[in-house]
Amino acid sequence: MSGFVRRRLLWGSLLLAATLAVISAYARWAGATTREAYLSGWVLFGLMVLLTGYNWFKKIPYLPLGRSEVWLQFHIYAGLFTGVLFLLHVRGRWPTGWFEIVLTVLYVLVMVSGVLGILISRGWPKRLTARGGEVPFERIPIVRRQLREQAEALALNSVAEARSATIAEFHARRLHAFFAGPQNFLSHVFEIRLPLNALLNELGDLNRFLNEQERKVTAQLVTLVRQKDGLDYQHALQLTLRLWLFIHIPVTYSLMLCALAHIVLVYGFSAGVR
Amino acid sequence: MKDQLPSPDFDRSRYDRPNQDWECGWTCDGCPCRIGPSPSGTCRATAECRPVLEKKDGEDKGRWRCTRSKEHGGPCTNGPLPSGGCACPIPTCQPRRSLRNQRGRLCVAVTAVTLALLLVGFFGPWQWRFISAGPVSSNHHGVVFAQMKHSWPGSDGCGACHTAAHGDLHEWMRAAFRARPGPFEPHRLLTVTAGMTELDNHCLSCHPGHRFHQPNVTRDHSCSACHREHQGSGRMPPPADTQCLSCHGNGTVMEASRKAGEKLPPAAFDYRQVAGRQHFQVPRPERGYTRVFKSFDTDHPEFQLHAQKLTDTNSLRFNHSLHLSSLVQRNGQPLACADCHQPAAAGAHFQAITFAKHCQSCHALQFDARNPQLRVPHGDPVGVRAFLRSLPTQYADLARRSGVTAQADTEKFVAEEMRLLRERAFSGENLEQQIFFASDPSKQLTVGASPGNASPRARFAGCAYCHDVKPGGADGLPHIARVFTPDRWLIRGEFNHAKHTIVNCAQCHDAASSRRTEDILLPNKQSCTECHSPAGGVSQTCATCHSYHTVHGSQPQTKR
Repeated sequence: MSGFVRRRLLWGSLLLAATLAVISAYARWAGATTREAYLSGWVLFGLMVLLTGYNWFKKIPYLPLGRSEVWLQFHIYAGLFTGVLFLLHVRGRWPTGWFEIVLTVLYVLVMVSGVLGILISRGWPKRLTARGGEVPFERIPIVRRQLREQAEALALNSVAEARSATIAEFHARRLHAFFAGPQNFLSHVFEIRLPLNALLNELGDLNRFLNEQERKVTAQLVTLVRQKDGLDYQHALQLTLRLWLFIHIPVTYSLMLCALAHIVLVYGFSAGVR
Repeated sequence: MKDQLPSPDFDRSRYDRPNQDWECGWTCDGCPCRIGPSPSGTCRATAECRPVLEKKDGEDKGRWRCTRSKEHGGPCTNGPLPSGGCACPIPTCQPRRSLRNQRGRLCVAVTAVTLALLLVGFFGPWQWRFISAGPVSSNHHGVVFAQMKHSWPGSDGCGACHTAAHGDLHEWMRAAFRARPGPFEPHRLLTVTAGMTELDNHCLSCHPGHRFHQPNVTRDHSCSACHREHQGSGRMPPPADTQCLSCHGNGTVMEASRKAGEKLPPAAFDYRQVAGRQHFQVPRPERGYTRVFKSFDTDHPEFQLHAQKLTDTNSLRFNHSLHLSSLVQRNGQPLACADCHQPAAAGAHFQAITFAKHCQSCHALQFDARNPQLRVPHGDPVGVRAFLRSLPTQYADLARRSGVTAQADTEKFVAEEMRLLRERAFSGENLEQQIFFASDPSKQLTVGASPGNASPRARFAGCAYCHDVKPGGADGLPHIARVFTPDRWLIRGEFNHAKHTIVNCAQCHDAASSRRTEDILLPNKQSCTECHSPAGGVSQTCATCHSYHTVHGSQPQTKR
């Protein structure tokens, strides 16, 4: 059994045990003399504070708070556990008050973005490896510039070597914009190859009007186009792997603020009743 | 395209720092400078190197040497300027924020916007609507509440229940820390009881007394524990079983209630009648209603009617079996339950059984077979006596209604009928006695009518055939026991017939075999649990049948 499977089994079992424990405890406490909504609320809030703290723990590595890898696992499984607590806390019903709706929507946003984030964090690196052409995200603009310069050089040289401006014109009309920056973001995210195939088809169609010398240049351009497309693929997926945090983290802070306000309101207006 | 792309060539020795707040503005163009922006985000680019002056021995001026590292291309071909400056200046840029920095700024912005929106929501014009946990139930809104809510603080009358609505944020915080259990008393969340709270005390300002359950309740139960508001604009959801079982499932509480009940006068437990309803009086069990149980289908006590083997004390003699047999017919068909038991307007219960509506059509009280139009009046012995003493007038009136107009013919008719009557009853007093006391239907009718009569109406044997008639009333009249036909048998539970129309009457009520009035034809608990149980699949919650707010005692109880 690999370490990954063992780790997943361990945390999954913990999550299952905690879920069963809290549901059975809730069924017992939901009776008579306990404030089960307060209990679930405080546990949920405490857990959310810990989950929010994960972002801060990483910023203070000099404190002996354990390995970040363990914290990440805790963050994932405790985050899923908050879903159970949340459902118990709201008694499985959609809220009817405005503020409570805001609170619920914020929680759902954090939860959904977190689940999507972990799904793409686990799945997309495999996609990136399978496609190849891996390059650090920060180096993508540099590699893109190199490809652009190579394409421009090929197009310019073809004019002198082949005594024809066909490729240069095609470059100016079609390839220049393609090499200028990241392209086809959504197509890459959803694994759609239509834009690349369309461009390659255009290059293929161009071959009918080219001489032998120019066809060699076109073949090199096709290689560059494929490399650029692979680079765009890396860019799209790696950017998305970073962008989901642009929803998850800010909305988390918003949620925590609203949760604090919710606690004040609950205690202030319910006077401790259930 | 299944083939894997090769990784492009790039300098792997260089290490970018994505955690830094700023990056070179030329990065997006693919040619960031090697110096990079300052931590504050200003461009620090000057030149690609800082030439150094090399002087050989004996030289005065020396020679400027390019110091560009090999990593960045090595010394440039042009070399430094004569002034010692670098000949390869780096164009300045506008540094841009890194993704991480942008995310941080977004966090701050979102937090600030949230805070602002919360302030607007909490203290803006829609303050109470925003704060409210949802619309209140229909029990707490309507015309009356709309008129009253303006007298309470908070635009939507929140102050009627919530003290915090009487003030600002400061008051909210004070109320929060005044709450029991408070925000810093998590240990009390597990042990706190369902006692009255500040919010519950507000309930009592409109629902005073908290005296709507059994008088031997040892502690006031929190209103809000059972009645959860702000769950929607419909009716308030029924309380959960757990609330009832917090006492009825707790042996200690039930024992305390039993002891408390022993100290109270029996009258305190009388079920206060609802006007217009006839309730079957059920004697209170010796231990009261303090048996501990967990659910209806398992250990809920048997209905008292069956547990105590109670009987119907109605003085009216009625044989269900006879009426449902083929001996009694209506329009050629045997009677059905619905011929007499007709649903009331709401369908939950049945209309009261009355002589005029349900009996008279068959039991017409015809005492003279020759003149079936004449009927003994029902309901009052005085009226019966007056009728019998006015029989000549009644016959004369009958004659006129039958078309006899001549005075002589009328007198002749009256004389003839009176003569025949005397032949059978001998005297007026004897006739009255027979009318009141005769009860044997197998004998000849009191006066005249025979079983072979063509009339489909039931024979009139005498008042005592149905009623409990005893001599000794005022003015020599008999005493006829008052008929008491309850229209509610289960006074501690509510049964809605309209919700049970899929079940035949006979499945629950064994009327076809009941010959005695004393039989109470209500089903027992087992009959109910066939459906109202987890196996039956129909709800068996306490609130399905019971209401906590039952009223007891003829007088309001004194506050415990």
